[in-house]
Amino acid sequence: MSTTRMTIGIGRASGASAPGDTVVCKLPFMDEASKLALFEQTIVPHLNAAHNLAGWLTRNQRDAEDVVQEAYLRAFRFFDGFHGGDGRAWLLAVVRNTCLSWMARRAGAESASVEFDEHVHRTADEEESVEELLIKNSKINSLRICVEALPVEYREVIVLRELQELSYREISEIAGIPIGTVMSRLSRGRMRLLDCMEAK
Amino acid sequence: MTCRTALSLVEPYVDGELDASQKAGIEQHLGECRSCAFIHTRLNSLGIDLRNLTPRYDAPAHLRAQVLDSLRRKAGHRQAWRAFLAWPRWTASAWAMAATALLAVSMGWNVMQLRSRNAGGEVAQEIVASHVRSLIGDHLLDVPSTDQHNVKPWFNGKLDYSPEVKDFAASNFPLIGGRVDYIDHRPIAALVYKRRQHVINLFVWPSSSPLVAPQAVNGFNLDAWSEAGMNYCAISDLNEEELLQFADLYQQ
Repeated sequence: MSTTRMTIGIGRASGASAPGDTVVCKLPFMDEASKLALFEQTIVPHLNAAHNLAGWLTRNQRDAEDVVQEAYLRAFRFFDGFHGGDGRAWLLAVVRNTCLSWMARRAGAESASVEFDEHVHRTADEEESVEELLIKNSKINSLRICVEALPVEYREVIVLRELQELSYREISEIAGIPIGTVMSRLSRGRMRLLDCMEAK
Repeated sequence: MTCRTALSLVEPYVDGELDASQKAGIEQHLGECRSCAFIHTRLNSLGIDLRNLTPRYDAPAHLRAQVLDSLRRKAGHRQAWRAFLAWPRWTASAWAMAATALLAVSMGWNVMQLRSRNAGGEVAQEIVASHVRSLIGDHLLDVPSTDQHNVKPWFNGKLDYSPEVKDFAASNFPLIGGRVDYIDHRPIAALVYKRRQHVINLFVWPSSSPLVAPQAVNGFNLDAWSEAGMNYCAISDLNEEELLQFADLYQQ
């Protein structure tokens, strides 16, 4: 799990800091109860950020819940590898990896799943949406559709940068790619989004 | 600053990644060059739209409870196991003796269990097959009901025993119904529960020997237990952690 590595004191502080961003010292030989208490204090408060990323990567609310559940158990197992710093970025790296392996597993299990994804998967969202039909041509809707249509490697950097407001450095650590790649993917992602919005 | 340089800096500028001198340089250029300023405005408003107009996908309240719950269970299990390992009176010789004794017992047990284990393996395969079949088409429920007082009497006359039917809607494992299935050469009760989009089939049948089932088959997790002459086997594509939580609830 090299991607869950955290650096301390990275560049610019991220725009949206969530509650629980306190300086923590993790002591060796900490018992499970204290470890859990520390985990609940530093990692659990970022549940919304985790769910948001999972939602955008899986493009499906119910799948996102499964991924978040799995990611939290995984994060707790690897909590010894967290050495303080921004719990949110550390957790998002775990969520991102869990998402990708989860999506790979699913792609393997349902090789004929493109149609399944588009129709069956999104019915829950669409059921709640008489209103959504009415605003179908609105900007909100086209923006969501355009983001969801991005290939996952562009989608993740766009979501991490624009919605989670993380720095290039943090994104490069979470996604395990060089900063130059973060910048070029962001740029291509934005071009695609602008083109997509114009076509709507 | 040339337009070429400005265009390479405009995104890092929007993202707040430039140092003070680069920032001053591009701001000056944007003030002078209308085409670069246009591109800056487009990128900037895309960012604002993304932040303000896309869904936030906050975690639903029940997810927080589920996450905390499974974390606490996990921490509890690990704590118990560590305490056991760290027990000071476990000296090296005690460990060796315990290991030898365990080996002897387990060898005997293996021989004894060989036949019933094979039988258990077959039953487990039948359970997996039944679970998969139940998810295809409309085989899942003969009696669709979330009321345990409807489901239990429905089995009367269809089985020669009466399974205990419990509902765990309060713990986010709602009962959705039941059906009769044919496993191990007899009709048996299948109670059906849900966790999010996952279906859990709980098979209940009377038996004199406990079922020895593997923990996972074909990507499905299984948990089997016996109580008061009844065998129970829960199966689902749900993760192991939450399936065990379900089994614990039922056994309480």
